[in-house]
Amino acid sequence: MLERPLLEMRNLKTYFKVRGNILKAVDDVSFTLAPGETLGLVGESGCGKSVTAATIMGLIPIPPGMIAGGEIYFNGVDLLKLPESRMRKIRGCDISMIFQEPMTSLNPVFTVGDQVGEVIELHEKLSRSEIRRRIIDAFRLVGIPAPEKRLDDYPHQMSGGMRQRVMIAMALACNPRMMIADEPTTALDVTIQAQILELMNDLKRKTGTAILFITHDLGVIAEMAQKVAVMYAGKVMELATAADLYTEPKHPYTVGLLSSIPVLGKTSKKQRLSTIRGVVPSLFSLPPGCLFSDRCPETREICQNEDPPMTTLADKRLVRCFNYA
Amino acid sequence: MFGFIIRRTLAVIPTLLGVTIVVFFMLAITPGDPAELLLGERATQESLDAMREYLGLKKPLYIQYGMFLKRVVQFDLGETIWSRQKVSIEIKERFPATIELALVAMVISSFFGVLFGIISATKQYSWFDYVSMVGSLIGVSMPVFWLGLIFMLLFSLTLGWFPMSGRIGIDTNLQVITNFYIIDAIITRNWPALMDCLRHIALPALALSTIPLAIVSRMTRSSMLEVLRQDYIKTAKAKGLGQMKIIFKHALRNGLIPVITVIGLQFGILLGGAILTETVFAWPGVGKWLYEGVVKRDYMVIQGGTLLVATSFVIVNLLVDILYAVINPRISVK
Ligand SMILES: Nc1ncnc2c1ncn2[C@@H]1O[C@H](COP(=O)(O)OP(=O)(O)O)[C@@H](O)[C@H]1O
Ligand SMILES: [Mg+2]
Repeated sequence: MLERPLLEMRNLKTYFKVRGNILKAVDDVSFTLAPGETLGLVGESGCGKSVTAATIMGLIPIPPGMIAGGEIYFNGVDLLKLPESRMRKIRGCDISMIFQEPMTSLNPVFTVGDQVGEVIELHEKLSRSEIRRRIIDAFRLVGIPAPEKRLDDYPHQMSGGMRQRVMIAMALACNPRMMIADEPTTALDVTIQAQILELMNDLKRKTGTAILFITHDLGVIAEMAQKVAVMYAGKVMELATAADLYTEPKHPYTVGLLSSIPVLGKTSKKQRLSTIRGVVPSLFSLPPGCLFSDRCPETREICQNEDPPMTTLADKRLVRCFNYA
Repeated sequence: MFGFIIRRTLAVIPTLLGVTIVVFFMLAITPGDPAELLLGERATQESLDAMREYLGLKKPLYIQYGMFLKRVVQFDLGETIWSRQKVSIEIKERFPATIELALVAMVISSFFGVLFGIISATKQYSWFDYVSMVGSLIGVSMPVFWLGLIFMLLFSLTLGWFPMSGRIGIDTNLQVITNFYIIDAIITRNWPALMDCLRHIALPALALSTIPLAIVSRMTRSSMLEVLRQDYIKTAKAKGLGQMKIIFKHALRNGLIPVITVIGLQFGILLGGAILTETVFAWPGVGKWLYEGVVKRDYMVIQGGTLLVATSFVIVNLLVDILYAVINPRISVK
């Protein structure tokens, strides 16, 4: 990758202090995102994906949270060192975000037009009529029919899919360099999910916005992401190009995740989907050594005693596993 | 929105009819001769006969109710036994004093209650939060007349900052137009009288505002805490909005929805006449008047007062519902 990355996260550690314990929600996470690129951040619920996103946005509540280490360079500037006033200018403008719950992520007492207009008004000095035109443009871009009319709707007058389109319009309204999509389709039903994914793919091509796409479902980002980082209990276990990862997963956790996705045609009705045995460990009681060791089918003695280092393989992929160390 | 207001206003009519039925039957089922009840023990035979004719006592009950309703609609509420003054006129003179006091008390308690509630919610578990929550606990359990006496003792007897009682000083000239003295002083540009009225209303309003203030601040706190946890607050932060904009625009507008109901309810209660406060501070409002009516067994006063209190409660509720719909779009569309 020759291009200078738009976002470079180095050894980020975001911890929470909960009832006297230190909870390592994000522990030593590094990745880069090039302009226009899409990085998938995948992992089971509770592995620290949303906390990673919130740290980039500067929205970790401190306390109980704390940034125990690391840097997040955006455009060459370390976001973690910026004062809140500068961070606010970046939020919603250079880096925007969409969330999982379209039903509750919009404020029920303002019209959707007002809510999209607000972010434009905040970051750009424009007249009322120009703002209105921009809202309509943004609505049209995300495929909301009759934008001039829908503008005055309140969120409860729209379906979940339409509301998520409004959220995307809001996120794209100021032409951000980067967008964080935190499980944007998880709460939607399958058909709508497919429509929103297609829309995002389409918008990515049109706008060239880099996307950090967070999901717990590896299947969702197969066609979207160039690179995928697989997280487990706060750590990145494997980071590879999407092509490498899907054709030849290396980390046993990735293998487990991939084999639990139903594949049309390949998985017959009789064949059962495999699941990873055991449950996600609580961040309060992590196993010593490799965090995945207690669930790993290939676990060895060393896995239970030592923390595996992140290893770079020949195809430039990163794996945190003693099988490759 | 306009349709909603019309519908909601029309829906008040059955409630008000219900009120008149209750008030009417209150007299009808009281044992004894209603005419005697209304005129007192010392009434002459002629006046009793006239009253029986006036009430239609010889006619069937539903006709009597019809006549009663007709009188009520025309604001004919009879005369008091005590002063032989028309009840409607007594109300017209006293009710503005009560509204004025209730309004000032509600402005104080809504403003500070909402403000304290917001600060408590945004700084949960801070010293401010603790002090204001303990304070509000004390506030709701404080007997108002006792607080009123303490205020009087401290601020008027000892410090001499405020007058002891009444609505206006005896040597203050004010041209009465609306019977709302503060408004009258403003429209006649009578600034000394305005100052005098404000000084008179300060202590009773403050005493009266403690309970609603405590209730409003608790309600605002819990409502704001709930709202600040919502996803749309996260969205607002992710947009790059500042803390103030998030709290006062995105959170407050939602957080106020349940608070408005509480404010309306409290205001309705105060409009019924703050009997203790009005009595302690010799405030010439309907609370004091109604209290005296009960003591003197003046049936017309009780009847007129009940109608007034119930009607103002219903109207305040109507206004609250409309306000509610204005700030909560999920209601008005249905
Ligand atoms: N404000 C907070 N206080 C304490 N713990 C938190 C907080 N936010 C997140 N966590 C913890 O951090 C861990 C990771 O959460 P999260 O990033 O939301 O997971 P996910 O990968 O499902 O998005 C969880 O164990 C969660 O309990
Ligand atoms: Mg999450």
